[in-house]
Amino acid sequence: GSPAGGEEPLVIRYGNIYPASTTFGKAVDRMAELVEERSDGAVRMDVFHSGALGSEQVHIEGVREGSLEMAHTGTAGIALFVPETALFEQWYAFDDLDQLARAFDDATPLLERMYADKGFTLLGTFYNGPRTLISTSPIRSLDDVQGKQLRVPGSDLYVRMANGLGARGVSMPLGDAFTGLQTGTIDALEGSPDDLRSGGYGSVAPYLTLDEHVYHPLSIVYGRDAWEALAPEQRELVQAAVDEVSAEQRAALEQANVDALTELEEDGVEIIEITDREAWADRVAPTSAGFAQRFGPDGQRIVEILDAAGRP
Amino acid sequence: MHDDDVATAAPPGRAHLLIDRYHRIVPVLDRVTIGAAVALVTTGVAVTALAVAARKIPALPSMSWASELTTFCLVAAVLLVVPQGLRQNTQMAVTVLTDRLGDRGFQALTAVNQVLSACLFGVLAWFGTETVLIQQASHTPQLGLSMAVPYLVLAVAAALMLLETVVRFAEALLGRAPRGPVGADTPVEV
Amino acid sequence: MEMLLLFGLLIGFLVLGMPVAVAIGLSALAVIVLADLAVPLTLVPHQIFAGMNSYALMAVPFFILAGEMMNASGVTQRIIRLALALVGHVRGSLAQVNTVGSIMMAGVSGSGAADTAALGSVLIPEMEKKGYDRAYSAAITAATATVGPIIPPSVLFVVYGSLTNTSVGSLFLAGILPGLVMGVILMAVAYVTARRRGFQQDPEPFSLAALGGAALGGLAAALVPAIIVAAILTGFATATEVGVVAVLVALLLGLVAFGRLRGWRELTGVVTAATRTSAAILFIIATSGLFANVLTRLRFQDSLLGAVSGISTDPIVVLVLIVLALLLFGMFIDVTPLLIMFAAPVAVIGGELGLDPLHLGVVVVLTATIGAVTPPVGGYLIIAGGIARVPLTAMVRPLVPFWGALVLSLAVLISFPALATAIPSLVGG
Ligand code: NA
Ligand code: NA
Repeated sequence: GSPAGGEEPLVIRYGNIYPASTTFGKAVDRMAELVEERSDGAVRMDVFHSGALGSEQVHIEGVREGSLEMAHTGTAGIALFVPETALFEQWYAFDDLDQLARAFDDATPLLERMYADKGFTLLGTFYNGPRTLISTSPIRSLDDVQGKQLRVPGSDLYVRMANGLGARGVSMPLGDAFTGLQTGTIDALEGSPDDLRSGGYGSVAPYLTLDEHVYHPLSIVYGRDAWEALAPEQRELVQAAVDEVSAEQRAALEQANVDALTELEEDGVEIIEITDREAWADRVAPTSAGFAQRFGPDGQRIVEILDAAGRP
Repeated sequence: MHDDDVATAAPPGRAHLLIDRYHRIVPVLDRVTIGAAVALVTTGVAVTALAVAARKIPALPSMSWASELTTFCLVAAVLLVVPQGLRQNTQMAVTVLTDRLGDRGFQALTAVNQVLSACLFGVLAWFGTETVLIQQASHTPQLGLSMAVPYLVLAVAAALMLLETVVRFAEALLGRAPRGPVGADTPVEV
Repeated sequence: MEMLLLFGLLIGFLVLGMPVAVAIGLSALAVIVLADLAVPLTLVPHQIFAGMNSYALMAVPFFILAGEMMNASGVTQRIIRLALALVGHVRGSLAQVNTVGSIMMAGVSGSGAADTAALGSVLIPEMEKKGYDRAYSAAITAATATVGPIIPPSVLFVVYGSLTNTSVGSLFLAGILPGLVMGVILMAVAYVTARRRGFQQDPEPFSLAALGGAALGGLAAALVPAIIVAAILTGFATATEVGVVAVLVALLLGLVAFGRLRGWRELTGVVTAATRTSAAILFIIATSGLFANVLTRLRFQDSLLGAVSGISTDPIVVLVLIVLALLLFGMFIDVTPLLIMFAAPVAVIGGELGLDPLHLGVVVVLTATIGAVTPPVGGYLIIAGGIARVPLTAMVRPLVPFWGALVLSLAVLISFPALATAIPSLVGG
């Protein structure tokens, strides 16, 4: 629609590192719709899907410098500025999405301050997970994972956690992962069922283990300076849209994972449930403790919140 | 050398002397940048080789940070060598027009090109420095290094590129900007 | 409108003779400022760094270093000797040696430009002595060097793979058969043209003893491609890591087997030269990072996709259209920048239409490579012409049959996707 009052519309550039077809892509498109409708075209969102503007790191740096206004971001992004957010992605910290959501809600006031210190405004969060393992040979127990070459994202935390579990964390580019599984450079890869399905890994790695090591938040952030330059009613408008679509995304994620698992199974991937998840969690506990130690008071506060909300 | 032939043809002035002096200092500058580049590339080769070994031999500690260190080393090496490539005219360029120009036209065009190039390198150096300040709060994913480090290398390299552009601009004004590759075959002593 | 400005400025700056990397970065910068994209100028250093900050891309400097080390080790001479022993008895033998040498060289080096320079500097003077015309010698050297980037290792596949998120290892494997097909077609054309022009009617007789002697040295050189392909096939390492393996093998050959690389100074000279070459390529990739970011902000990929799907949705028709467009652009833009600028949008289109990513990758790289031997701007032509001291215009006539050979190879590759997909799908299949 044409902007009310004939003025140039306010354009909010949003960078989405996931494809448009994912729960995140759909949520952001919906957010853009809501904002434009409710402002009668006075506020418009310019959405770039599929990481068209670059890596997650490029996105968060873009929000910081002001070449983007908004993005959702996790360990590969916001954690580069606020390292404490990586604590949410410690392995086996949560048994389900509710636990994580409770922890994130409890930590929000603290996070808001930490983000603001680094030039970001926290508006809400999407969720992803549970991350699972897909492998070339079946992983049914903690013993099976020992010594496996496990591809993880290029993040210090993930490499430590994989090593702590007894696997060998390999941080190769995701583009090499398919060939890596095919040729045996790596034995396994991790990600949410939906990520693993869309990557087509099932054809070379027909075993998916539901170890559910990570449920994680994807903070929806706005550049602090840009946010403060908005009129109060514009802020309200955006905040309301974020609140609405993030609730929808959470419901959609659970459905997407169910659908992905069904599709993977139809494609001949064996879905493996583990019975000794307690033992997996115990195995990485020292690594988590060691990782948490590097942080100051804010980090310790988050650890307390995680302990209160997460697994005992 | 090519430059000297042209230089003797023109009246020796202070500007010529300055440029001649610059060309005498250049080997020292190259010794530093090329020396650093060779060390960085060697580090990249060694670290990657060790990381492969570490992955194959369970007894060795994991070196998954090697990919990040290798990338930074090679990117830094490349950036440090670009200014020299500009001076030696070894960066890829289209020469359909320049080949057809007489000397005066060539020198004039070269001067124009340097002014335009200086815009890019100037922005790169100035805002590269600003980026160092903005992104220093950010850390690299694996080594936990401040992102100020890679951006600082970029800003320094851009400043050196700007310097080469200014020198070439002065050479063009004096009618002594060289055509084609210059001295790229002379080995650089390290 | 902004898009027109962007490409207009790019072409303008290129014609002015600015370094390609600068022309790309500057046209993007100009559009940011002139079209008011509302981005801070820190985007310029940010994207230029991000353009290079990729581990997959680091295979480029590694394979260039390996190639440089290989040349210093005396591999080129051994390859020429082996090629001479193999095909020296055919009429127009040096034309055949040039072609077969290029095919063997392709397996050792990652860059067609390096192959042109290495083989040309030895073979062109030799061909001149045996009565070949200089323009023909330069033309055949440049034309056959196009096999270089298709047979692994290949810097261009690394560039394509890292810009499109396609596995570089798989692309390497996908290039083997198409490269060999190209080689055979080029050998046939070399045979016919050398005969028609009456070059070397009485070649030297075939000698088993000479072949035996040459094979020993050639075998050591042939080890390199064997190790590279084996390392990828067995999953020993990723493409970037294999680049380092190639560097170490080349170093070992130079130090021990051939005893050519001696001393610290020579080694640092090799590293320096390789870093210079890498810098020329990677700086283009860096400024292209900024250029691509501006293109995305202007929604170039979307409009391109819309335009293409407006013409046809038949994957083969679209593929042919892409090839024709790239051939046209390739006349004016050299192979590496051409690939850098178009790889990502083309891969997006291919993905939407369901084209096999490996087949598309090989087709696109081969098409871009043909740009290196088409005037007015062709990197291999410039190198070969420089060595032979012939102007570009003189090379056009002898090039015509070779262009025919390359277009035929391209047509065969487009018609038979299995040429690209067979070997990669064999692995772990
Ligand atoms: Na090759
Ligand atoms: Na061309």
